[in-house]
Amino acid sequence: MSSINLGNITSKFHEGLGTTVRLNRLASHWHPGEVYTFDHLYQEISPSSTQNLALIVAELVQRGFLEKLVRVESPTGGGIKDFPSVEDVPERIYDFHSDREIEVQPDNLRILFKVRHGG
Amino acid sequence: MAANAGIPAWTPERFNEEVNQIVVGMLRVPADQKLGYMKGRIAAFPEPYRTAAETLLLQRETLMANAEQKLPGPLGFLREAIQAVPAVKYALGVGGVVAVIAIIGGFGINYKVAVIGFPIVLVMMFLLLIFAKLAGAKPQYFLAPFVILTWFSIITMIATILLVFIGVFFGWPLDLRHWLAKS
Repeated sequence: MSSINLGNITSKFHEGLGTTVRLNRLASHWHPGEVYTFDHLYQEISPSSTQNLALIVAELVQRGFLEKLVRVESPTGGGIKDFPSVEDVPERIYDFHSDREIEVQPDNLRILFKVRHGG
Repeated sequence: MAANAGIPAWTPERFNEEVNQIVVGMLRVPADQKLGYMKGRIAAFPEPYRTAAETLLLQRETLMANAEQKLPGPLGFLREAIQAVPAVKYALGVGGVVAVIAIIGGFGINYKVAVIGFPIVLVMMFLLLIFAKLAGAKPQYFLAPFVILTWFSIITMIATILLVFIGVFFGWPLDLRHWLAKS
């Protein structure tokens, strides 16, 4: 992804210049299809708080830079299926890892962010 | 986003308050109802706050689940606490001192020996700390406390050893002969 300036997003949440520089640096190396966890983004961007990073990332999703994925994971390990939001996640799902239907709990869900094509 | 009558507009501050309320609510809800509760509460959030709320709440749930799975035991818990708050590492020192007492008990040596030994160990620990500080700092800032504490430690050590010696062999200022011999 070519050089972009996301300073207008970080400044909206009163983040300093350092956060903006780190976010721009990360975004300039994004490749379509790359997937980031929230922890990874936190380590790369080092914002002042997790709340602010969640808001910044949400803005990036809204503006089309990133795509949010809610992944249902098996209690035994491994992903089962991706959904666009928590609202779309069913109460129960077939877990092909353990060959049984499981009740989906919030701790079975992992939020991921995928770099959009041409974002 | 304009505020409706009596309803505050969505701001990062309001977002934080609402998310905190959901976190508290999720602690009260049974495990099998958590997802439904979360969905219901998040549905009221406008974008991009909804995505941010999903992110924070799911991140928190993952962290909680990982913490429960690890349940690292007292020592592991202390290690994680040190990682989170480096100042907690001094608790490890306190634990070490307590462990020394347990070791003495394990050796079958009387705890009275520890009573005499403890101040000496403390003095030595203090010296060690001063040496460690001195190695990593500019000497002029630490010279005065270092000199004072070094002399204090030396005098305390000599006085303790001398008084214990005199107490055991000559019964003055305290008769330690019987005190130690009884145990």
